[in-house]
Amino acid sequence: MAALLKKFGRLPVLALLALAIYPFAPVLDWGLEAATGQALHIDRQLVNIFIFSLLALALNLQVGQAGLLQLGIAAFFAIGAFTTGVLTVEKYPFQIGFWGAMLVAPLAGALGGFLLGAPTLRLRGDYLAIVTLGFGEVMRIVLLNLENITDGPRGLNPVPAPWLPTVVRELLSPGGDASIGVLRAMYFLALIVLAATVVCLNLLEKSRIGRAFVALREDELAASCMGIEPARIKLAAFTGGAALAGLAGCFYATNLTTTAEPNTYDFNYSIMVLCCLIIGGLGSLRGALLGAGLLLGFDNVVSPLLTRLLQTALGGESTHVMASFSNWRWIVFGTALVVMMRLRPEGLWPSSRVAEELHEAQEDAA
Amino acid sequence: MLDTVLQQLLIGLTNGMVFALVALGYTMVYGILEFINFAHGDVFMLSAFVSLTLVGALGLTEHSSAGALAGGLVLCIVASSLFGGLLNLAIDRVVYKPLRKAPKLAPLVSAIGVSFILQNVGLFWGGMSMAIFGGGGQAAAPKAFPNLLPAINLLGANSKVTLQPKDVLVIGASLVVMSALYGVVRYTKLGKAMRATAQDPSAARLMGIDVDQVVAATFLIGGALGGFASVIYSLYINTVHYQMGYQNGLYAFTAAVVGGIGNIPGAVLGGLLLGLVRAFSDQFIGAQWQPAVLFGILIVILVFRPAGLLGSTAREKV
Amino acid sequence: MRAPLLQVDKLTLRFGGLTAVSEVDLRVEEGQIAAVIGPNGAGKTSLFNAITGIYEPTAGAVRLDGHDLQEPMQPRLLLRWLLVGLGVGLIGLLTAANVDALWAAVVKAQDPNEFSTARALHDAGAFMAAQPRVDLRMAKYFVTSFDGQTTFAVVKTPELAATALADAQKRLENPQSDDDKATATRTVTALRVRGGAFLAGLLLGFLAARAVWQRTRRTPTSVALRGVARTFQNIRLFHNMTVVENVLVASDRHLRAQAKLGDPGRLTALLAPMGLLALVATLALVVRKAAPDAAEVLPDGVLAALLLGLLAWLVVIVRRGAFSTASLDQERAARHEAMELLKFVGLEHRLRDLARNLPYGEQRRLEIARALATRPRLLLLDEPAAGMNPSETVSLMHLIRAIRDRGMTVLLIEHHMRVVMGISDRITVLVHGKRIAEGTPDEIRQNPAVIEAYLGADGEH
Repeated sequence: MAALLKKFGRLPVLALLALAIYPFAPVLDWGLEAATGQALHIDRQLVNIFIFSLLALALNLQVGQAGLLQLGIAAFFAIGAFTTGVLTVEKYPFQIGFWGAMLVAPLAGALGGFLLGAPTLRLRGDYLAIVTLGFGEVMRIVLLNLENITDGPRGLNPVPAPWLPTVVRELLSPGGDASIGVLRAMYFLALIVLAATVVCLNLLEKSRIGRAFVALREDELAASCMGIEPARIKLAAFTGGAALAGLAGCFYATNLTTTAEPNTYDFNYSIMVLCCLIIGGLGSLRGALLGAGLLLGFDNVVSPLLTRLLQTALGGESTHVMASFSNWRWIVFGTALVVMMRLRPEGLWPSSRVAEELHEAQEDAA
Repeated sequence: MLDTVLQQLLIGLTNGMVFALVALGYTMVYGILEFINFAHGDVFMLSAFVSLTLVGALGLTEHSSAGALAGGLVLCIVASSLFGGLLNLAIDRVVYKPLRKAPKLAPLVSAIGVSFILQNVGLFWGGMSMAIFGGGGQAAAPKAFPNLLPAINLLGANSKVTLQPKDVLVIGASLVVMSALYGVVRYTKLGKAMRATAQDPSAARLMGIDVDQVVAATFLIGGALGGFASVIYSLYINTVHYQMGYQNGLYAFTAAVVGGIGNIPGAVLGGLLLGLVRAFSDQFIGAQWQPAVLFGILIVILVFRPAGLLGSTAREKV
Repeated sequence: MRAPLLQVDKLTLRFGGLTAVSEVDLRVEEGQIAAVIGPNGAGKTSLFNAITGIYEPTAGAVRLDGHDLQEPMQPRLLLRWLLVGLGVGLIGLLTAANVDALWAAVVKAQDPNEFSTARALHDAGAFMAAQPRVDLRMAKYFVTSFDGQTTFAVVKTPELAATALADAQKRLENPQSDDDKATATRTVTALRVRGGAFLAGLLLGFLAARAVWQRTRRTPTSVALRGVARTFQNIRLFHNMTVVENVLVASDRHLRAQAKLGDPGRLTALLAPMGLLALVATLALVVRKAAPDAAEVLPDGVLAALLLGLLAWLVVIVRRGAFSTASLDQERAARHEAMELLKFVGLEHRLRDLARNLPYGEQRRLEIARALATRPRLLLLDEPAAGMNPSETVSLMHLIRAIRDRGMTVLLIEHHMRVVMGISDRITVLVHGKRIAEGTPDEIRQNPAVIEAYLGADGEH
């Protein structure tokens, strides 16, 4: 225990412990329920946040670490979700279940990333932006059009819950309530995978590949003259990020019990993920986690609350487009991006190195 | 068969002209500042809303008199171009200008942010209670832009190829505007300053060129081109929608990249190429695959010519 | 006679109308210190850039140890391009054949619970060949053409369907009605379109792979990996990395090479979790499929143990840092080497400082240490003494000699005549992109053309 604390720092270990205990003792829920009289189901929100964090970490690997301008992460998320759907739903013969899909979905994501990255990663950065943006759009269209495979706008469902050994199942749902058991299973699976991902990415950052990332971001030419192959490193980061996004997609579909319609995975979704990186701090693992929490918190807690306030202020059931706060969200996110870039480009909780890079660029330019 | 090909050629040409006009806005800004102005497509969209509001306010319909229509159209074009140009300029002043010296990612992310803000504004604008917006009930629904030009076939009622006055307007007006832009960039002092700044901003500054002014002019002209394109686009397609900026912006930007970003003739070439490919793929492959086909073309061109069709590879100074 | 270590033949470099380097020859023998001098703008740095793969020469060749630095054409490349072509061709084929319809014909046509792979493969083959086939959808047997558009007959049993199919095939071969003819034409067209799409994809993929290869035959990386390292005239360090990290970036090459040579720990570490997960998945799958009831009874302990094994692997990976390098030992060795190099250039007191906080002279030394960490055979130094004070210059001369004594060959560009004349074995003089003289320091000193170039055209030295 002491060794763990020493190795990873106090905060992450304590946070992980708190999160591990939370479903059994949802103190926040009790407190809020007592205060507002409404059940908020924070554990359910937390599952979403874990999954979204995985996706944010995937994008962080590509944009924050490797410096690739990826604007279509939702495409790889969708690949993961639909791979899971096709491989698990009852209407198809595969039915390999969550555990099998958890292996195949990242592979499918990685394949997609490799196929897109191999011909395009040598292009200059801005071109990659348009290529990934276009790919995100095309993936959505293709999923919509392949109606025999993906059920088009309906999406594939139901995606089954993960199969668990009896012991574990009983442990998770003491009262015998299966739905709580499934929820907790997803909670812990997502938490474990998220924690493992953070550990691995943390190690990656300190490894020779992590050093190569920094070197490439700082001076690509000098790095390549030192024998670092930019195309190879970038392709590795791109493929790895795509695989992680595929894994997140697998969790997403399983948690939602459906792949959702292809239009879910649009450009706006990609930008939302980018937004949470920018808010938390590009290139910073903890920043990505913070950003994911803040963004989903805003969407699922603050936004409905404000809508209710707005409606009361307007005195009842206004159907006007401006009366629902969810219609304001893109103004909020857009403004957040603009303001962050202006005032705090390194994000709310940056990694120290990225903050230095940003400030150095500003000093140099000044 | 020949009729079909001719017809698609015509559709491709008209669509391509619109893409080219929007692509010019992207490419001009990129040429000088080396950044993708993501908000450009949404400036285009909001300009279309300006026209639509004007048309609604003036009460123009298909049945208005020819004089009123001509006057209204000119007013729309002037108002939308002005609006587009000034909005673009204002965005640059408020958002991008303070970030001139920041790392490359900062203006790009800000541009995406601005794009979302503008899209949201478009959504709210669509909720206006004016009759032409459908009374404000369905803010997100596409709005009908009245077909202000007579829907007749100029090639005669029996011809299998349709050429409407609006096609002529799109092609003719675009050609005029592009030639004017070419003249400005090639022969005026401002144009020379723009080209010099695009090549080397710091050297241009040393030679006494007011770079800030050049940048401002670029945003103004680019935005005005977008505003102009939005009017002829609305007249042509007869629909205005708050997401049309994203859709057309994506195509236009692809056109700019295909042609070689930063290169003005390249943007026109890319726009025309994309318009033609789109028309033929709609006819022979299916409209639902349109984005996939265009994307495939983009990848193929970039693999064989990484700097685009007319672009030249930048040489890094070592 | 052995080939010189570096041999530049008639190298020409043109940018638009400007000729930066014109038909320059250069030979550097192994173990020598050679220098390139010349007035500003003579094309010295351009020559370095052409040698190190940053610029693509307009004409001429650069050879290291007698081998061209440009990657030679090899038969296996053809194979690689062909593979890419096949991949793209396959995508083209599937697109032309309509994957969606293929899926409907192969996967959806069968009951998911009685799925037969053999039948699926057969169906897929028939679909790709655009043959009429028996379609089992909607629990009725009826014969349709390949794309599901034409129904020949609706029949009640498989036997009747088979008869109807045979009949349909006969009619296809010998069309009688207009409907038959249309189907026959459609089959032929479909096959042509598919074949065309495949061939077009094949060609496109092949050409694309070739185009990319041609652009990357000589890159800064490939030259560096062949054993040529360099420093830059305008120092290009990784400013926000520490001194040690700067050097470690350049050790990447060996760390990767060692990792390739096969450290068993690394491979197992990477494969173990995959294997474990696959095992868990298969087991869960088999148990659930084979005996849904037995799943409840089966010893959950086995699965629990596997999951625990997965966690144990995570601990191992954390402890050994398997992700970070081949193993921690190699990382440690690289760090050791980096320290040694930094000591060699005299920066051992600066290990943890950020590169950008170093004074100018030390930054130049760090660049040299970084280049040395790639363990080059040939080291190119671009004005290493620029901006150094006299005492720093003297120690730099010692350093360059020491580098030569470690068995490396050095080629430098320098304006400081004291440095050039003091340490060089051979000197090449460039003026306006052309080589005007080559020889020992004494020969160069007395060469009238050189004196003319330096005193006549450019008075600064």
